[in-house]
Amino acid sequence: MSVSLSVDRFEGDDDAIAVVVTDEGQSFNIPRSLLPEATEAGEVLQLTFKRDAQATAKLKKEAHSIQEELAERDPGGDVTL
Amino acid sequence: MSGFVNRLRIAGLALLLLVGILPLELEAQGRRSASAGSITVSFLDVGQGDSILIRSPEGKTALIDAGTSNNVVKTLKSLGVNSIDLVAVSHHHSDHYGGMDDVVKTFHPKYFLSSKSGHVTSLYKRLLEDVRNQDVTALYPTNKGARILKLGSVNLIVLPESPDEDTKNENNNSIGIIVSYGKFAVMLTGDSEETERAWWLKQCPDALKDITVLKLAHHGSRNGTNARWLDVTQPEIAVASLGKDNDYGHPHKETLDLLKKYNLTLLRTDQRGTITIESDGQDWDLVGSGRSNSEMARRDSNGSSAGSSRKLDLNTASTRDIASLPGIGTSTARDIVAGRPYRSVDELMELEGMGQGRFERIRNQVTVTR
Repeated sequence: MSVSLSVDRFEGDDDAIAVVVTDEGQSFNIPRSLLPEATEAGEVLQLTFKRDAQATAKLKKEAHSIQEELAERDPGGDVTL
Repeated sequence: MSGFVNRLRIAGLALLLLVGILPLELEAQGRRSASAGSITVSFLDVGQGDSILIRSPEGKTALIDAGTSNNVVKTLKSLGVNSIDLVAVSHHHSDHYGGMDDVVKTFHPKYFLSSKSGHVTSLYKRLLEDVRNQDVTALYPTNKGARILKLGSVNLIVLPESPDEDTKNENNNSIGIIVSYGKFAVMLTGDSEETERAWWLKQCPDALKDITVLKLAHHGSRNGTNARWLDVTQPEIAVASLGKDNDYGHPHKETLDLLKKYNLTLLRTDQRGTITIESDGQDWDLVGSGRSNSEMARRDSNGSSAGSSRKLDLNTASTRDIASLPGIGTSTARDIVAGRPYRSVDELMELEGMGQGRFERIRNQVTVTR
């Protein structure tokens, strides 16, 4: 899925926030650092969304592993802080 | 189980009698964490998100959620916080844990309370990594019963969690915490929705009763509060943590209408900034009225507001002091505090039930500062 966006303007300290609008008029902010280098106001960008099942599974597995590791530290029962 | 939790809340009242004589603990910069024998609960102004600071009479500190960003560290430091005993993430949404990584790195808490919900983002995974790398002791709710975390003389009652994780709606995996100190109790349930609340109502209905302060779940969303929840908890006042002009329409009109029906005053961080409530385990006061806790810092060692005039300042006086005025009881005093800020004494006449007679009795005993 690809979305066409227009860079409306830059805002914030050091113009670090890009305000972009969709063709339907929805407006939202994106960190300027995520845009291609030298992008200027008025340019049209293509934003592509692609579901990444592999990365999702990897993230869940790694987070679950840390949760289980942390659970071993839980003394259980009531705790006096 | 619910009877067990109730006994613990009663035991907390007994313990309160012991701690009431503990010396006042002072923090850096001369700022008091609380009056002697008092708990303070601050709903921090973190924009559209949650972050609740709890300080026990002994100076123990807990932070439930950390808003969306590291701004919360700056806020905590401005309140004189220099150490935190326990941090908790109510659920895995970034408007609740976004600033927690920086809190952990800055304050090095001893304990980290969270759920094992499988809803994670790369940002949340990084938080878990930092908790692990800093050797913080992790705590989890159980589905076998409530856990009691003793923050000095304050009990943090962690409600049991459902054995069935909601894999479609992370809000229903929120951790429920009752902050209990004597007769004072604050209900914190993250963004819990109907499904999770119904489970608690079934599992531990008695433990949910007699709540003093109800934090509206999900920032005042229509799915965060309903009549049944209010019927059981019977709060004296409600608080909502949310950002001004947020994109989600919080608080929803349905919620506001429901609170009006129950004649419940709602305190909102988008309107008042940080909201701090203090209690000695019996009564409670709303501390300050503006975007800072400066009034709290100004209060003298007798617990009364400082000032050159002998008149009570309607914008800064404690609920207790206002309640001591002739013809003004605790209920009206709370209404007066909830109506802040005042630009003139005459605005008291706009309060429901004030009447000319009551007003004239106190007119010359009160003032307002701006």
